[in-house]
Amino acid sequence: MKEMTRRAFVELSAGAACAAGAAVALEGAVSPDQACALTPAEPLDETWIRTTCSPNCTGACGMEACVQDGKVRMIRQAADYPYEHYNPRGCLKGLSFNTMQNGPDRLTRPLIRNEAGEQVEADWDTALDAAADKLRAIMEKYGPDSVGVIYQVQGTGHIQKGALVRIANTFGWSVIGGYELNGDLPMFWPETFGCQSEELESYCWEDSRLTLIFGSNIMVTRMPDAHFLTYSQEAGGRVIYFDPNYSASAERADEWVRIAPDSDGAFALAMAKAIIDEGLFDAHFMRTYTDSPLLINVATGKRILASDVSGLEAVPGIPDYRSSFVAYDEDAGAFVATTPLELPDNAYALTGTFEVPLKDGTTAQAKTGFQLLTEQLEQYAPEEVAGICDVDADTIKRIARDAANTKPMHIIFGGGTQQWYHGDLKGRACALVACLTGNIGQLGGGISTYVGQYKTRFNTASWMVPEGAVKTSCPFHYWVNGPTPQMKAPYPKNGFKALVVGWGNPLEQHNVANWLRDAVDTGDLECVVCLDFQRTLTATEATFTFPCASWYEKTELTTTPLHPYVQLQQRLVDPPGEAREEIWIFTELANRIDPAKEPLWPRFAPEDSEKRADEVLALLLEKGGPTIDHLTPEELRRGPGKLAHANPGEKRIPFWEQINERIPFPTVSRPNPLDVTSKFVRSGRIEFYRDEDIFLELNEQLPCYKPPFEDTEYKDDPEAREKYPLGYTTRNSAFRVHATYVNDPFMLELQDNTPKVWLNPGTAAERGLEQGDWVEVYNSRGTVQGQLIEDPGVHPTQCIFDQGWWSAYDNKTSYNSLIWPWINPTNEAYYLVSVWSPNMAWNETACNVRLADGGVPQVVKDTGKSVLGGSIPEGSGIEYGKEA
Amino acid sequence: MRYAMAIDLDRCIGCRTCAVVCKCFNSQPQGIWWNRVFTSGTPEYDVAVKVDDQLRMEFVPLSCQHCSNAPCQTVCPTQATYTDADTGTVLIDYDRCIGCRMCASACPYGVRQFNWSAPAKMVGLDGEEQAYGYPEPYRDGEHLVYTPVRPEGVMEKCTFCAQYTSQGKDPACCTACPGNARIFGDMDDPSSAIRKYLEGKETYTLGDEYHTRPNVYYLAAHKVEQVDNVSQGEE
Repeated sequence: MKEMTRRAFVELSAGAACAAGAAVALEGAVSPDQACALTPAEPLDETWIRTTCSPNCTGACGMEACVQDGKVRMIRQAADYPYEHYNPRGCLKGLSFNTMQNGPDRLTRPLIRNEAGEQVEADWDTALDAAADKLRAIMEKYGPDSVGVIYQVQGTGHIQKGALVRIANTFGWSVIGGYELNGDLPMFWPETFGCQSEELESYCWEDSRLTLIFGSNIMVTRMPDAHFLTYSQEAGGRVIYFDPNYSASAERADEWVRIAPDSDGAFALAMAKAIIDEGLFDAHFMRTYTDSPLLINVATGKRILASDVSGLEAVPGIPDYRSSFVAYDEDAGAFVATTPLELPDNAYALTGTFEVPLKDGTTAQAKTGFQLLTEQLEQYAPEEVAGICDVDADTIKRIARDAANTKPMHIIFGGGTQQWYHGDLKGRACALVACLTGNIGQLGGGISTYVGQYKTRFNTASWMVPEGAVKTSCPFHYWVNGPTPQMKAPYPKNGFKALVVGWGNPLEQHNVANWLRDAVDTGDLECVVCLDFQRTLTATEATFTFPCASWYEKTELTTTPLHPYVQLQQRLVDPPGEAREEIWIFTELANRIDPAKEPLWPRFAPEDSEKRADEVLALLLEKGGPTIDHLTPEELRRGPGKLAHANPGEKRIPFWEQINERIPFPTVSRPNPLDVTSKFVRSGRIEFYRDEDIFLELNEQLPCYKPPFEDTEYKDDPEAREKYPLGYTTRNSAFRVHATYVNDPFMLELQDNTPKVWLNPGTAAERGLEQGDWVEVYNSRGTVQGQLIEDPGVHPTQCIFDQGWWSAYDNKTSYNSLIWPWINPTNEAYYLVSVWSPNMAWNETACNVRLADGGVPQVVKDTGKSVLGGSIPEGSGIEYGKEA
Repeated sequence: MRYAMAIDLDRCIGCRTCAVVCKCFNSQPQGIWWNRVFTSGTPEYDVAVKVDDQLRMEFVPLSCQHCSNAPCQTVCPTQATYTDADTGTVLIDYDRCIGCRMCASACPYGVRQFNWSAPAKMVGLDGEEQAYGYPEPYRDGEHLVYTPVRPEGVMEKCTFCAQYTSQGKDPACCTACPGNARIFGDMDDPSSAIRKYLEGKETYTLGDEYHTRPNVYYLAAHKVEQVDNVSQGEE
């Protein structure tokens, strides 16, 4: 037989198009006596218990684990969701969690620093007392707000993670919001809709007939949800994917548009122009639900208040976070005061220029918001934008027509597009397309952002906000940049002196991670308390490290924006060694910092942690409000419980109440009450025109396009344009959830144990680099290393690194050392933690690439830490797929 | 009865969940992967390949094709590789395998995986060995076709999860695929899941030129329209 290499075979066989299609032989009958052919296996003496895999991917996948001898041996998807298309839910990482749960990096004993500065094991009493003493001393010396708190994301766990929020609120520690820290905060949402964000749960994707995806690699970052796009395609829908780089999501789309990096906003504005010019827009929607008809004083740039207009008064009974503005009623032929209390049908003029008599005797030149918008869009003709986006005008117009004529149409606005300095402008432009086409409030339509397991889906104050709570917060940006003159956020008067970290690894995973490490090394940051179950860099550098329970070892309550099910994590096995549930650790810490807090933190023995978690679970469900209070702990012990929603039908539809019941915007952004966020959209409408001074000053009152790096890297250092000509993208990997699973031995094998850097072959050649070279990505702030992969799918101006590698695997270099927390001043117009706050613009980073002279890190040559007395010789590595 | 698997490449997102659950459930030692997902034309993951002037990332999940005319079985000198007469599943009896690797040479799909020496153990807590996967050996009659602890120097490969299919369950890769791209069943039973899924659909099998008559059926992925001025400029 002719020998054929696997590689050649795969190349040949995978050319699906050239393989001859053959109808399957469907003849033949089955005989009943053949039903059981193989010798039946003895049923296992096994227990499968349901829990929830809930790291910071936001997936919240129901899993069952097979437990033998007190250890998890196998994990499978529970596949018990009542909506069948959600089954099976879970990915390669969650299904191999057992390898980490019982792995060599598992923390099993409390760790403290001795006088020599060495980390040593300690018993719980010693460690907790020492941590409490240190934190108390820092609070007394610098103020309680000098203690910064980082909890991964609350939605992934309301009981145990909620305990960290509760202790922060007990003592007045400064919460460093995960939403802005992680880059999840899509500022266009509060700027346009007044809310933190709204999104379709993924099972609504199958109802879309056109899906436009801007910079969201769904097939990699939303694996358990990705098939809903496939189902949409199988039902006749189309998926168009916009990305400078080719990816699995491009491969699964019907059309891939290779858009120039960071030009998505310009593309959306050109679409908007084409839709308006061709008369394809939904005028009723714009008139009824948006600020399009509101009159703007051309001289001041401000919206005209009804109370300032001669002969008009503000509509009565409006709270002070609302305003009554002015529109021109075409039926009445007169100016009218608009109401922010409802969204009635109206005959307001969408376009036009008006002379508005004011009470001070002057006359204001005014235009409608829509008029100004159409004038603004003049500069975004598809022919003009083609040069910015590197996409021809005809394609832009074709997609614009498709978007206007296909319903429901859904835009997925991803982190790849959002996490830029001007990410909000792009979001506002995409939201404009969703509104012009009337898709908001429709099943399978609208615009969604899926970054982070951020969403608070029920009321959590009963547990997280104790009596006498002192709530304060401060974005990480100000710690690094220092306070700014225009900031509205509180800043600790003595800065940050301690950091309490739960379920996070800021010394690796925050931008300018090296800056944070320096703060630890120099002693400026006097104390780090780390709660984790894995030996991360933060755990090894911390002053106090507490070993915690993983999500197979405790009771925890989880929700996600991706599906409507409330689920529990359950204790399938006991935490190993001395590891304990976080609720016990925080209860002890609170009591040891201040024994007077015992009424808020009743003490219990560690073995009663489950009992205490049960009490909190019952409390959260009972006081959680109408979305959750119909669910019981018993029900959730058995399986998923569905959250309630307001609209009729199986699936929750964002903004359904606004569109159908005419309730004004915004929707609630829990845990904040509505009156706190309503001021973001004072008109009660979707607002595309912002008249705060900073927006006027920067000429951002309407959605517009601003190019990357000009207001950041190049402004900071004009030479950066030449020195760092590449954009740096730290994308999510299929093999990690951020840094979680980095030490999963199966995942390591799949990646040859090697961090990689992706460049276009041309970009590599310009630098004299070749596939397989060990290279260094660098800018003025930091460096990261990796093995070079030449990929024609990477845009020639881009450099890609898969984020999440611990520096221990990468010559101690960190991909986050290159990234700066820029502050866009429009993000400072207001401050509300995790709703209106500085964006984290991970992608706003320029870099260059060169051959690394430090050599290849040892860990790459090793076969990995997963081997015990293995027979595979050192240095052979595992090259998954290499021999194909 | 004829066990078969369909892999719908139009649903495959290249996530490798099938590969990992296969590895874990079948206790595959380090370096051994019964089930792999390739990107056609490149040994790397997450890399695009130029195909007919387009960029593509064509995923090809590949495991034992359970051929009706299995060359691995023909060449096996000890009859360690055999086909279960009732289901058509191609299996290896570890007790009989002498590690000559003739089968690996004969297999045109390169899916056979060899334990060159004692399999490496995974490190667990406190330096102890960590065990994973189906915990009990499984014998088909007298044939040892699965054991969580691999003997030294034996060949191994996909068994269609014989320890599960013999209990009437589906193979782990099929139940775990988040895209529902893998469908298992009896090709002789018109009411089976696989027959129903394939009804009216075009399929193809790999390596028809070898006349192996595989029992893994692939469904082709759709084309991707592309607007790509960068690649056009490069040519």
